[in-house]
Amino acid sequence: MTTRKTLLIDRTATFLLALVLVLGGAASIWWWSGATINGHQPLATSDTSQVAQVVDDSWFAWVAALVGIVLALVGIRWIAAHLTRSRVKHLVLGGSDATGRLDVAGSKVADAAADALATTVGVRSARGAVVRDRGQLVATLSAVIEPDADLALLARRADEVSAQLAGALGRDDLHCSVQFRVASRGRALPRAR
Amino acid sequence: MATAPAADRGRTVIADKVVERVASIATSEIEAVIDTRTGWTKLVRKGLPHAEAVVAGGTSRITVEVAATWPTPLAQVAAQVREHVSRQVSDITGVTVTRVDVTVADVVHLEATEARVH
Repeated sequence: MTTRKTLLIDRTATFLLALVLVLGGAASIWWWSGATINGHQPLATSDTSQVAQVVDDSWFAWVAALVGIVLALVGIRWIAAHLTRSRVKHLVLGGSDATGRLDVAGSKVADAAADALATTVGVRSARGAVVRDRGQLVATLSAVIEPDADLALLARRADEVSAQLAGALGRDDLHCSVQFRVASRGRALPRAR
Repeated sequence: MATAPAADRGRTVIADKVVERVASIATSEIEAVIDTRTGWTKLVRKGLPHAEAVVAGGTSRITVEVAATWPTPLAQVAAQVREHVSRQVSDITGVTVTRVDVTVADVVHLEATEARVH
């Protein structure tokens, strides 16, 4: 699950990368054609003496190393932002006041909902979690279903379990997401001999 | 023979463990709360319900962890536990309860559990 900030960075980075690719492609075609556009011609690339001069400067190696370290750290941080699942450990329940706090373990209530879904005919297994997704509190239920499962029945059960979960937690800010994944092959049942 | 004043007859101290035990029993009296302690865990008092208390100067602060059945309104169950524990501890031990924090640490879908057992 990604946060809003990570999603914004992803979209901005994707847009910038796409822009660089388009401009780079256009510049390459211009360089290849040698065409004159509004009196401008592509730069001559046969002379690389200026680049060699910059690379030979004593400060270049240090700057290159520092830039490399910064880029590596940014890359690691970026990957980590996609790996972390913002699971909600405890959900505060209504009725908490000075006489005592009331809360529930998020994973346990989601697991119970998954267990309820798993009792449906055609559901092979199910698991649940409560996460913070883009600032929203979301209970996600993921179930693996049989290839020949009755989808209409599963949709009804998903609605029932979602309603039960909402009733159990009694929180208006909770969203419920149910995902079904069809098993790649039917379950091999033991044969009677 | 006249009875000596209460202050001269001695002092009653309620230990933390006593309050914890009363709180634990009171918790399990709520309908939607289930006891997850079975077999050996019953002997060492592991599992749920579980209570911890700090008693000081005739007042106590209690933390309770419970397991509830699915699907039940958890806020309602937790509030019932808080009220019942507070009342029972006050009535039985005479200790004033200042705060009861309740955590629903497990939610059990009984049908699924039975299906796994059988």
